[in-house]
Amino acid sequence: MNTALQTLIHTIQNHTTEWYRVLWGGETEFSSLPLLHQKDFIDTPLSKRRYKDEKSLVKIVHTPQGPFLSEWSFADIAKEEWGVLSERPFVYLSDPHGAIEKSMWCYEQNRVPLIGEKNPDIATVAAKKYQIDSLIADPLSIAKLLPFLESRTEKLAAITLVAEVFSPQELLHLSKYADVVRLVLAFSETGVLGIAQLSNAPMFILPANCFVENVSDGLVFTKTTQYVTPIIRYASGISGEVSEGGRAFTVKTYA
Amino acid sequence: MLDRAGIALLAQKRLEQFIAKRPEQAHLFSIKMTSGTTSEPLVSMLDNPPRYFVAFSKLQRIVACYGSLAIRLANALYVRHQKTEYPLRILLLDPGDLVPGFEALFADFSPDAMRGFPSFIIRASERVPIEATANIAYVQVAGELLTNARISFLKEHFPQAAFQRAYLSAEIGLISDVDCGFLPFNRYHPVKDVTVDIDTPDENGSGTLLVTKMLDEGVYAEKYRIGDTARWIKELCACGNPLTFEVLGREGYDYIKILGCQVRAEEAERIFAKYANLFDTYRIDVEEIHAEGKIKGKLTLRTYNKKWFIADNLIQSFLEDFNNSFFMTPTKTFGVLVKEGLFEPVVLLQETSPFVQGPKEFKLRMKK
Repeated sequence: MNTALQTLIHTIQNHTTEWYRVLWGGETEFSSLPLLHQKDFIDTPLSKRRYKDEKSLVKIVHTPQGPFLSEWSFADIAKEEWGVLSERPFVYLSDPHGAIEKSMWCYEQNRVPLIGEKNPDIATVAAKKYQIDSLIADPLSIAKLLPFLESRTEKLAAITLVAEVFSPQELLHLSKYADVVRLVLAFSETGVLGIAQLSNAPMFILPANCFVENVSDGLVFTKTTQYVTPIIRYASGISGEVSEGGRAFTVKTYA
Repeated sequence: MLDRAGIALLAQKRLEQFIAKRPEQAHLFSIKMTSGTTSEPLVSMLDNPPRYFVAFSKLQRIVACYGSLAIRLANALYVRHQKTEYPLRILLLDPGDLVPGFEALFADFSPDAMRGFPSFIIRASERVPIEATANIAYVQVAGELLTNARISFLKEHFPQAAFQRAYLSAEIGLISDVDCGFLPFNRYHPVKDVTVDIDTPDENGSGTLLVTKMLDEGVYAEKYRIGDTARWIKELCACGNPLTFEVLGREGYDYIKILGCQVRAEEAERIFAKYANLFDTYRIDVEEIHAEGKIKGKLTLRTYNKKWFIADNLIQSFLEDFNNSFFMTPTKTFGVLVKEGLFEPVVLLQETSPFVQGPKEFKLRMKK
């Protein structure tokens, strides 16, 4: 087993917080550890699944089953690969909590982001004035920016789309607006699970601190960083194929 | 006087300087757009961190209540870079978070401080039991006039809290100094690098608030019209500061001027609060009409009750009270102004569907 993962599991097993110990029920073999589901986040208060104390941002995550809190230390936000480094990034996301998080990522890269207010007319006026050179958005929000993107004479350095679900065919047209269009697969509670260049059949590359298993429930992700709520065997509900080297995956169906 | 068009040019110049040379320390700057109640987009550069929130170092869990994403981001930035005794956490609420399940999340987060726009803090607090807010140690409010109703609510829901107030403008930043602890609500001392003037004061000393402030090296806002009305307070503050101004409200939101009188939102709240069992909510349309060879004022009260229409006798009883109790000058009620021929008798219309509400609830409207 990966050393970082061993250390993390050891830390979790000996932590004062009981959440994972209760979930695991005494199981010690990694591949036999019960899977973690989003429902476990919904059903457990944040205060009962907090594994470290650092300065942090707390988000409210809304799901059809109800909302839950997700806490991310600023140090951990800095390490997620949310965007491409540019001079004047623009963050325009449907989820306001996600927008703050990705904007803080920009600041952690020592860049001043423009965070787009909800109204796309106001957001695009600001984007023009700030002369943005990259964009972090999601498939829903970027649709509202199309008139602005169409009006530009220069391509952006990069567009990053962050989402739990992608329909790549419907996004291919975005390639004309940026040198690079990347897809970042993520859930609010997991951080980045995979990054792909936009194409008909994107191949998602795992971040260095993440690995994936393909089990009967679908793709299961583990991250070796001790987040506030660590991600150990998170059942994504996504069905896909893992590459031979185990460091990339493609998606057949999303959750 | 510098108006929003003038400040927009200044802000643009500042932004161009910023774009020409990326700052070495990004976290000292933020970019925001503002429309607010004056409905004109501006790009502003605001320096971080906010100076007015003392005691950040003692806090552990802050809930922030701001409509603007840029202001929320500035708060996150400040938490990130502020030296604190404890690992400080911040939850930046969105109006869309006030849904079923919010109460449990609030209890789980268990804040020791709340800060933001009073109306948003109140909306969030209304969704949780008083026990959940009773132990909050600090409440910091800015950005809106504190009406007596809001003050009463905040004191009831935050009985242990120290209240800190700040007066600032979306366009030019902080105007008031750190809360000295002696001032009543809505009164402030100007911060030392700001000059406050009251333009064309009336007999009560109330006039247009103008602010002069250096925004950045070579960038200067002179006599900027904030959009609020204010007056100087002559009495020396207990802290020793000789300069105190009182903010009286924002034209178009807190009050509407008509024919030398004012329709004040707070005054309307006071009247309608007595009839909460009859009206779920209301709006007041204010207009000038040309009638009987004169310009007269007219108020139309539009009310809504989701359950039923109100019987005529109850309406008449309410209108009688409105005429006798609704002050539109320091000394004259609406009824007196009608008798004097300045206003038409009030009209009440019962609406059959709820009012459409934007991010801010405008209860007063000037009909052109």
